[in-house]
Amino acid sequence: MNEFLWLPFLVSLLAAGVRLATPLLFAALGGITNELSGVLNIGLEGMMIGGTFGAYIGALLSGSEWGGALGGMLAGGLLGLLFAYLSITWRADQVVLGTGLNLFALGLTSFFFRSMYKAGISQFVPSFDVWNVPLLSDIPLIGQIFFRQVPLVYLAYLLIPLFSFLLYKTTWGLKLRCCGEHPRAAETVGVNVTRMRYLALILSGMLAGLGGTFLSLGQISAFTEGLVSGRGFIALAAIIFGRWKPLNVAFACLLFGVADALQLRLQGFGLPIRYEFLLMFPYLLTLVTFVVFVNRGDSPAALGKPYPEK
Amino acid sequence: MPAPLLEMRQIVKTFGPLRANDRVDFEVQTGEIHALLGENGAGKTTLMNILYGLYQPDAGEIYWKGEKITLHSPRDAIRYRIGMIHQHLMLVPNFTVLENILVGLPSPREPFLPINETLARLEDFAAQYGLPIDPTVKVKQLPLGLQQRVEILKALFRGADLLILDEPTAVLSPLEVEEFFAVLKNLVGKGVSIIFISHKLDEVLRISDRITVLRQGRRIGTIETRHATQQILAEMMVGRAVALDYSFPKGGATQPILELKGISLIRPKVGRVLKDLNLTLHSGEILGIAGIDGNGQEELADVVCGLIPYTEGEMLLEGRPIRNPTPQKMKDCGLGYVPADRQSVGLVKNFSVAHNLVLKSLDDPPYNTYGFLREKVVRLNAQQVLREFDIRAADLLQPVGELSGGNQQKVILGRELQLAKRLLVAVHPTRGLDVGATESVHRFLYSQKEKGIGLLLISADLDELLALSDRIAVLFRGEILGVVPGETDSLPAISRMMLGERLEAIV
Amino acid sequence: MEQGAPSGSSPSRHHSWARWLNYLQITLLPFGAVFAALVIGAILIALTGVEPGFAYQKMWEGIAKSNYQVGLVLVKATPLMIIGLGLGFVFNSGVFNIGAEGQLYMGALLGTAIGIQDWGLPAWLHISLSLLGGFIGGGLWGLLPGYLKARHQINEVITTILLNYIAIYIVSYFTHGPLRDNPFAEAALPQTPEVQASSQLPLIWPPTRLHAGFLLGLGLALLLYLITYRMAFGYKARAVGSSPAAAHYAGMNTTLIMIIVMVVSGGLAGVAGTVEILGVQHRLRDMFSPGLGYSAIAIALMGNNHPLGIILASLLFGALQVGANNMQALAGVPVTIVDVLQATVIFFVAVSAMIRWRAPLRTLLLRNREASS
Repeated sequence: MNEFLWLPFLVSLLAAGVRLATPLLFAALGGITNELSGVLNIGLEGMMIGGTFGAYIGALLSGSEWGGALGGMLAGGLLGLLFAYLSITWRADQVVLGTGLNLFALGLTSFFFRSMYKAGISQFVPSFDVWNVPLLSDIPLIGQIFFRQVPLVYLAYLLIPLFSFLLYKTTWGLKLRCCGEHPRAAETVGVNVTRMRYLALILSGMLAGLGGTFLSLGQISAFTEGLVSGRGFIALAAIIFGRWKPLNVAFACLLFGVADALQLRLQGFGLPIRYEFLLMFPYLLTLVTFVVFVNRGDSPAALGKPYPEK
Repeated sequence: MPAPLLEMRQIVKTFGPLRANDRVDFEVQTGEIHALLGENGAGKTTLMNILYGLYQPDAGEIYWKGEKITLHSPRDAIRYRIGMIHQHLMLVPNFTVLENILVGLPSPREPFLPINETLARLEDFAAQYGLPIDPTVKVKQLPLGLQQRVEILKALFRGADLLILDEPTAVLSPLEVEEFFAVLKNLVGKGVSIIFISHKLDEVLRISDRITVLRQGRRIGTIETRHATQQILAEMMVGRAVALDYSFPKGGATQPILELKGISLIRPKVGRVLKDLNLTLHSGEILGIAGIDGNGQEELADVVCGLIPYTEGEMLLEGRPIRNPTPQKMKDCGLGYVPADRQSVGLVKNFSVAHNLVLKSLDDPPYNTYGFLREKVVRLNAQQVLREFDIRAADLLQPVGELSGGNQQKVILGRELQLAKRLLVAVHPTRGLDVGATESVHRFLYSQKEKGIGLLLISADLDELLALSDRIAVLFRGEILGVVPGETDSLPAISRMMLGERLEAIV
Repeated sequence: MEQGAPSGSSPSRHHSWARWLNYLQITLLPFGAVFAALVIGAILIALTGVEPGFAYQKMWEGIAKSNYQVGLVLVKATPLMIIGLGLGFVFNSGVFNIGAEGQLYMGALLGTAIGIQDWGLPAWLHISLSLLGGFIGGGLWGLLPGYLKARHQINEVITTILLNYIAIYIVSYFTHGPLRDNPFAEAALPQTPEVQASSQLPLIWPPTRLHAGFLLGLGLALLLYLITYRMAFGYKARAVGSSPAAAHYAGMNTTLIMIIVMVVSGGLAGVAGTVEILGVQHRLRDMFSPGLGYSAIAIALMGNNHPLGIILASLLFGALQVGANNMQALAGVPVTIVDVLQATVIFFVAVSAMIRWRAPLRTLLLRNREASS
């Protein structure tokens, strides 16, 4: 390839990478929150699935994509509440529950969707359009990559510093992290561990639901089954890769987003690689980074353990 | 007498069948250090957890500064200016000192953390109470003495008219204990009242103004410290004249069976846990290992039994070196091991009594033919062991987790004594057991010595060590500071070595 | 009281009473879970405007109206049973393998690759080789996460789920590429050629579709029962699951045991995939499994990881699947309601594991009082 084609290719690749990273980032920010509070949430995938469908229904009922976003967050938040009730109040095993939640969301959305549309094809609903940020979108390269996106992407940009601040610089964030490190210590200084973990899971569900919203209303303006297909797990890996720090996790999500964009583009190139292997690439990359990085970071000490212990 | 600062009346707390507190009365006067004394399991911590709002009492009343109060959670306790330093420190190792102090404190500038204000107040406190600390280091990098200081600062920051200290000296070295007592005196001088929980008589006598003794959930009495002696307190605590009124005949050691030569253990992130250990254990000998908890005793046992590979040195069995010991290999050499944690290491709790008795022999004849377990033989063995060791179980197939602590320990002994053909390692073998169970465990251990087996007895209970051991080695920060004969005359030397003095320096 | 039992002292009776309650609960648990799931299902069905009684009637008819339907239930139950047995085995050792789906695909791939070969082998040998291939394919796919978990403490949940996606794409590659049937035909489906007649599992209850794989499943259940509850290895594997520290202390090679159970679990998922091809579908298709590997998680949990429980749970889920197909056809209720029912069962089992009546009823009541105060 000569220089002439190379630059536009890179710009469009990165722009697509940013777009594909956005749903991962929403879910990952939610996942950071619940993991820092000490709850291991394998059900992030299911919460995203709930979000894709909730957003679709919300847009259908309200006639607006922002109504859809509300619907997505509501669906995710409700799944978060269910997870919180079963894992905190009943102290059930979080990994088993998470697996169940994924199956639950998959079955429930598909059940309602197929009840509504016997043919299995949805109607189109209002969706997010690309909105060029004035001035910023005119910056060469940077503008093309980052500022010619749908509004949800800009929301994601804002959430990165917001969550860095919220989790690591506020009294609330300190209490939350204390619940994840040493819940009994948190209790002895007057923190209500149960309430913190409930809050974290509901917030996490809402964010994952927003990630789901992006998949149904930010990319295709409709609902189909299998929209999420493992992105919740990729987000989990991104959290570990980014060591629970929002900015680092955002870069991890961007990496996986670009990998996804790359395989999509290479499919059109007629390379001598079979497209199945290209489709596999993001999962393989996630697996490798997970295996290499999982035991490096300091995961919250009480992650996955119900409280009180007995 | 003025109205007491705190009064707890007729407190009752039960956990299932266990009565942890049985109509306990307790009061604290303003400005005093009031010691709460009792054996493990006497109900001290339960009573204090009720006072701190962590448990709700089943019955009884609490009066604070003359008013009746109810404590639903630590939040309430903090509001009444009651602070508590828990036995297991309630600090987040991954947080800095500052973060640990800040957690849960209200901020004048919500939602921002009041970092500058807190730093300034920290300096104040440091000067006022003599508690200097670097707020920027992570707590996990601090020695335990300084970690405790962080806990005290935490409590002071929340405002404490009454400070509850639960076994605060258990984790401290002697030097740290001295510093700690100075801090306590200072705090009392500033108007803080203190409840000091302990089971150590000497410390209680040194530091407190009054002493309340608990035994088996009941209050035995309260006396002024100046009227108390070790003898009186011991009697109140255990309900008998002396802690242990028996001793076993000494002597009978023959040839060396186990030799440790320059054994060291370095653990990642922890550092050097054992330093250049040289020890010889003889057949027919009981070698006691004394020391304050956490000075490498459990690691020493794990190394000898092959659970942790040692970093340097050499281990000889009957003069022949053992390379790369594993639990399996050591068992095959005729070693039995009674571990410190019987609940989660020594036993598989949901396996039956019978199967726990063959846990280490699943692959060995006569229990195994062609990979299958011979259930009949397993049960026959269990029947015999149950009889021999007087283990009270409903039946052979009862899950071992349902047995009492004493019976669980006897299950472990029943298994390990069968395996101990040459050597037995026992760690805290009677910890948490009642008097009857303790005596029978001691008899079983002694019977091994009579059979010519070499016994390594690791314990924090000096009475137990003196009653059984031929020789006693003292472990301090992973080092052996000296070996003395196992007789009462050695007691002063042992105590001083436990505090870090070398035997050469004492004699 | 039984002869030779310990004397009837009061603690003895108290304990057998507690254990009896425990057994009762383990037995009743699946029924409770299914009942709860059906209630939730009824609410969902009513939400879509269908009368739940009518829908469940169609479901029941689908299960029991003829021998053919009963045979179908057993056919559906077969792969679930075989995967579930492997999962129960691995869960007992405290390893949460949720990669059965991928292991199933990899096993089916290798099993099919052997099944389509025209080697002129006798049926017993060809079938055995295919099944062995299935075991190896699935087993290798379980080996990697098992090794990572056992040696490097790398969480098996994330690795196995990512490997699921990878396995599905690998099979997709083979069904579109090297193993594709008649690649030059215009409208060729992404599927392999039919497996040889010599490798197809014989039907055992004509005219139903029930094939010999069902008997294989029952045989494997017996085998796993013997290994888990009668052999020394089973005791060790369960010790590793309930108390890793005790297992290490007792001289067991916990690393090796974890890897072995993971390979066996993956291998059985692979066998299940192969059985599904050799007995039912006869061709390996792209995306051929409707999430069997995930359903089997619910089955293992519901069966309390015990082979007998797993047999019963897989029959029940097979029946739900067949019934739900009928319910979809005749009452218009989407078949994916089965996923919701399975998830509900998982929730129910996960929660009830926390409220086992280990202690006598009195302590349970006391605990509740404490919790509510």
